[in-house]
Amino acid sequence: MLQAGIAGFADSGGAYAILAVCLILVFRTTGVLSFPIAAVGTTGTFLTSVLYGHGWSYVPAAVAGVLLGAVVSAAFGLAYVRWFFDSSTAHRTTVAIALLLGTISVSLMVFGDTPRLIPYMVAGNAFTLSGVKVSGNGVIALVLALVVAGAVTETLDRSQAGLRLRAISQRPISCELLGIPVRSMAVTVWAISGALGTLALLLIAPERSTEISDLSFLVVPALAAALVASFRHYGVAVLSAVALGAVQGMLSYNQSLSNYQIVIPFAMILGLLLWFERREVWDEAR
Amino acid sequence: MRLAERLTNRRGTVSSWTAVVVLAIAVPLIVDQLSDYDVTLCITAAITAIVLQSVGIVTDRAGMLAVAPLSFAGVGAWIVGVCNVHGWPGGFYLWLLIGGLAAMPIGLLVGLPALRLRGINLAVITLSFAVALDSLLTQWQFPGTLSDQFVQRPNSLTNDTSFFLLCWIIFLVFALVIWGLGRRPAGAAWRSVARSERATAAMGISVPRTKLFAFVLSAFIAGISGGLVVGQVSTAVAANFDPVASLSIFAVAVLVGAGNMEGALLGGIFGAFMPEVLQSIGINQNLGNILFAIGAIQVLSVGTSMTGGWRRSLRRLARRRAQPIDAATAVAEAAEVAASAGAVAPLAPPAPAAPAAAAAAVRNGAPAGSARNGTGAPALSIAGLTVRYGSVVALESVDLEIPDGKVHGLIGPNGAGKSTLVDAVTGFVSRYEGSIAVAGVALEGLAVHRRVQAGVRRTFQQERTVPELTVGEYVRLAAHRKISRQEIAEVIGLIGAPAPEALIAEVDVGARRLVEIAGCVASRPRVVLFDEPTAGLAQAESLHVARSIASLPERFGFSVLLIEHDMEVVLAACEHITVLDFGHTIAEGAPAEVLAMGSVVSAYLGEQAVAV
Amino acid sequence: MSLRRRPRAEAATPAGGARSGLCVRGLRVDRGASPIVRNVSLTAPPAAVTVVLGSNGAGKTTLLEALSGIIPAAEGTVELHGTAIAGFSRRQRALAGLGHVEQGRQVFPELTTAENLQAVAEDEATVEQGFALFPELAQRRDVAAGMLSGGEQQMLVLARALARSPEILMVDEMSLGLAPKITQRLIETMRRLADERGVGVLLIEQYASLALAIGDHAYVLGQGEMVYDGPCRPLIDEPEVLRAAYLGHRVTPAGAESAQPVER
Repeated sequence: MLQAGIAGFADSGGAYAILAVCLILVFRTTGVLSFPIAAVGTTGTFLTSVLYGHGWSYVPAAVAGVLLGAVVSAAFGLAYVRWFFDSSTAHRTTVAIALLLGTISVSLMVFGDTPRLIPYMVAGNAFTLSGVKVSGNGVIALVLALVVAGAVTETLDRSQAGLRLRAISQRPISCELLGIPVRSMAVTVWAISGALGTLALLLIAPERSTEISDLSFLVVPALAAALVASFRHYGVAVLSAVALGAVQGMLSYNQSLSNYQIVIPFAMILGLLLWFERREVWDEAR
Repeated sequence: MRLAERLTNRRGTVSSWTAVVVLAIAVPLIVDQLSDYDVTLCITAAITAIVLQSVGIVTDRAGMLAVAPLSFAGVGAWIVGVCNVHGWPGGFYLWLLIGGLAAMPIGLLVGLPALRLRGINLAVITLSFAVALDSLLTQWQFPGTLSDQFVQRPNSLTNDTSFFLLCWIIFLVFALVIWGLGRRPAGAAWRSVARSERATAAMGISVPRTKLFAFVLSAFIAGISGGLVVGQVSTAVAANFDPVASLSIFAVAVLVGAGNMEGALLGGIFGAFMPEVLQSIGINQNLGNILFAIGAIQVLSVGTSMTGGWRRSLRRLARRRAQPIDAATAVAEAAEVAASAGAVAPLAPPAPAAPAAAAAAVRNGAPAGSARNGTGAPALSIAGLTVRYGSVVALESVDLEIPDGKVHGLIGPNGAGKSTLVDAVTGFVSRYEGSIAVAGVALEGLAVHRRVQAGVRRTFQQERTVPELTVGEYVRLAAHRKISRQEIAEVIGLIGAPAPEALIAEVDVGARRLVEIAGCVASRPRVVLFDEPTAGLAQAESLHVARSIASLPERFGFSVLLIEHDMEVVLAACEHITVLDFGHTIAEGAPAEVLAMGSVVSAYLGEQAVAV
Repeated sequence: MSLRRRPRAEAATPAGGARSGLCVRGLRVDRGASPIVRNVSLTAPPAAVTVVLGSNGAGKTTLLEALSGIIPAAEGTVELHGTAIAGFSRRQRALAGLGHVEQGRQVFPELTTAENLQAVAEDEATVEQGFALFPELAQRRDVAAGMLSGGEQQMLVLARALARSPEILMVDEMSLGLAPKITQRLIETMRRLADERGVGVLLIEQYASLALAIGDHAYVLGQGEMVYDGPCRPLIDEPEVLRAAYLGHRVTPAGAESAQPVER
């Protein structure tokens, strides 16, 4: 069972972690919960799959997919910056939900729901641990997650761009008045999250069902992990994402329990919110 | 004449009722004539409309983002299946009801964690609930599928047209219930919470309870709709209630404005007929969802839903005939009403009771009006109040006492701590030192809504009325006690606020302030704290509001603390003023004397700051 | 930490070469349906301190927010060195040389003092200039800005705005909640900015005396309208004039007797 756990955390944990880091980054910079992130990643992944099916080799197909994810996400960022910059959090979140619906629907329309083969970035297994196979994709996802979290933390702590992003997350209007390019930085962050989200999906999708909606709702475990980190601490998000993957992996070991894997993020979110809520009075801002 | 029309004719309401009744009768008659296939579509439309009613309560009215309506429908559906398989008594109708009831505790469970946090947390938890439930329902076959025990409709409903009639009646019943609740404090509180949670709490209403009520009621309605789905097709699969469909319903709700009955109906038609239209043109079904998503985003950028916009246009058409409702007109008209209704006695303060009983009654949550302080303790007494925010001292050892029935002014430069004082008294400051008592009852440890019950009310620097309510509905909500329509009309008339039927959205800012004051007065407080009530008003309106406030103690018997910057208002209205600066009291006394004091003038003009 | 040298943003190019400063004509700003600021005209020339006084609710902050683009203006023209900036975005106005220090000391609370400056400055030299202007801040350079005292935070937001070398700096009630000594210090700094750096300072204040003592020109806002436009001296010499203005009467330096209540 433990081995299954390890396999789980490697297979899914890495992808969840990348998505969670992106969620936190976008939320802290632009104040928007990027519900559509996994859906955008799915769109990019499916483009890769289509191109691969047409004979492209993996790397150019993957690059095309990642670019699509970046462009679509940047378009979302532009919409936010143009029409919803001064809007309330509730409004912006509603827009995010509508964008999630729209992205899933566009993917379904363009790619249809015929079963699709998503190519592996790295075929086969990285290694075998006591009879349980740990996939190559999973290891890459894990490494990538650590690299991304590290890079984000480094950038935020040490570069001027990072300083500006942190400043924007605290006082966006003051930043504009100080000549900081708030809007273009926000769009850039969206674009980066779209690219990284696509990478995450490229890594995890081959192991999962190829239903567009199932893949798009991988945002849920990412949300759970980000919530554990209070949408603030990238390291904590990575750890909890990986732990979540491990728990799901352990459950999958047991045939009857494996079907309840998806309930875990929900239970986590439920418990976390109850915990956070205990000292609040109400939504103070209003 | 015009006023009389508005009061007795109620043109707007009459014509909407007529439209609803006509619709209620005409629709089933029309459906009866349609082909079988079209009737099934109509059933789907009606069921979708019911789901939209559920979303309308939570999202459109209460402003909470809940994206899993179909998951609650799924719960209802599965319960009907369970009842069917186990042969529970009562038949389909009862199972339908049980399904709705079963969805409620699930709603409680899902909604509870997010009640006190920002709205986006509810979106997170409902989305994850939808995804989790979807996978569970996929695992668990619909009860009876394997044993071929499909749900049979009762004999009266085997005909599709009669089943449509059932759905239609349920829709109408829910519409009536929602409409009725909306006119009462229970439902008006939803709109108030969506506008401003602080202002709602300051009226003595429990914000979490209001939100939970909205959420649980919407779960019930959604649960019923799930049972109806099962009734329509005899069985159900997880795909009927999948998360993407929930998102689609959510988007439609935002687009049409599902909080209105016509919005839910329109959304039902969209939901049922859009796939048909697309299919007949030969376009992929998913375009429907794309259009809904784009529509929802467009509505959000503009700020009004489809039916919200239609209602606004209708009102504008009606308004072109009538005059705008502003403070001066309102006062004149109110005087007309008062004159024509005969002499109206001012509200007399209720009989006094022993202070100990008063304190006990307050702590048990009884309204202040039922337990008056008879010992003559001051209406508001503050001693040694100190408030610190981190290292900043906002207030330091402030003392202030307001006897019964007086207007007390609180002035001082910006940043002196005046609003902090009001926040501390009304419970919006988490920690402070010193003591605050209202009519002898200490407020320490009491939450905001308990303090309101002790008899202290406040207004905010920006007006916080609820535009979607009428003046009468708002005053009833703000009164937070059993109050007759006549008493509401009396209070409104005496204050000079617009007529009870007037929609607050139509009323200008100055008159809205009067409405706020009427709301405070109607609650029979002991003391009301007004935080810059004339801010942003033009001269004439300021004077109206100021005169109104100045006359409150002698008319209604309670005391007033008035924070103001307009010195003319202060001179005219206040018998006693306190001057704050840098969180300290620097002067106190009769307005004319205090305003002539050198130290006060310096505080405002900064001369004392020249010390080096 | 490295701060790449960025190309200097284009300052507003003057028409005909004259640096005329900030010119506002006939400005009206609405909140909802009610006008908060009505028919306001003022000029803030460079290398001078222009003082705008008024009691609370007079519309001073609304005026500044309309000038820097936080809220839109309903009517009127705004020109910076002859260039009309009414259509500019907030950032464009900042790049054109208009600085706005908002009310309430809007530091970036979770960044340190030094980081607050580094986020805005183009190079380390600019950061050090900020510390040179306010040596007290240099001692607190690694403290999170949210932990600074009120006076230190005010100095920080001023230094931060100055890191962009604005041509015109609008400062909204910097003395709020600060001890007299600190306010005096900041006021003197404003004067030095005008004299030594040629910055045109538009100083919004509730505390009249300190601002008037260093001002070159004074405006008084009353209930959203301009009730006084003239030199500072008469307001200092005849305090009743100022008091009348604060009560909303239109005043001339000749005295309060000729005061007329403002028409609404």
